[in-house]
Amino acid sequence: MGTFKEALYKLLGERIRKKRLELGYSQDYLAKGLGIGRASISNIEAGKHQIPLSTLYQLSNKLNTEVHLILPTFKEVIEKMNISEFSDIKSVLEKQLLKKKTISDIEDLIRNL
Amino acid sequence: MILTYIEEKTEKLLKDLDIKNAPIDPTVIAKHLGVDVQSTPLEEEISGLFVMKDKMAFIRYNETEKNDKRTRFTIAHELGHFVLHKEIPLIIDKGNNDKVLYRDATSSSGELHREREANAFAAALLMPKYLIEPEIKKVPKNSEVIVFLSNKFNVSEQAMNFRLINLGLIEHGLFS
Repeated sequence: MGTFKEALYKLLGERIRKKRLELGYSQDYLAKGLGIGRASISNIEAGKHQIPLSTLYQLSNKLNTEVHLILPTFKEVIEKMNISEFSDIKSVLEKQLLKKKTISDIEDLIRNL
Repeated sequence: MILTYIEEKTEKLLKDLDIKNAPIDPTVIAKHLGVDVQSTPLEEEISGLFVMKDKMAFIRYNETEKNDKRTRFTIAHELGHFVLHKEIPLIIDKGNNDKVLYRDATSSSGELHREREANAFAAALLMPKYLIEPEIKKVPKNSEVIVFLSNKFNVSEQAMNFRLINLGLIEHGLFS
């Protein structure tokens, strides 16, 4: 079950990675352009590093986009949180020896809470 | 088996709510803790479950179970998961006895430990030592102590039997 902050940086990282790959840039290339290490880019993309706002502006510029276009909305972050929470729940359900009907009942029940 | 840290937690909860008489209603304790409790249609193999979703806690128990003593124990057991294991987003409880759990080859030792803790919590919550001790003195002559107390506390005779043995109040009961 992730926190809002974890979900935010994870989602942001995913978007940065997607944009970078679209442009065909390597992590190294992007890092050099920003004057930071390749590992930092890797951590930012994995959501493990909380990118400073000023770096995010520069990074967006290098990716030929604007910061507001890659920042997720509040609702998107909440949805991301719920998805990861639900995948935890799915893994719990799959580990147990339960009838298929029981599993689908429980999934419905949790979804409707 | 008495787990002191669990006895302390349940006794504090009951005293915070100023509970002085048996039977104890586990739904009152759930309300106090902010846990949402409801019955729900579930397959027979499930007695109840505990879910954490969006930082809210939910207990659902099988509505097909008509035995009040069992549903009370299930709710108390799930509350044990809330108090002791709320970092786990979903705990499913199968049946009402440990045999089901042992038969399940996928159960890890961590799961078994959590189930034992939740059972100990339920027993301590529904049959607190501070209420059992005065009641045991009131058992009428010619009454069976376990039968009398299980009615007074609204729990199964089996649950009362184990609790009295664990508290060292009887040596061996009806089921040993």
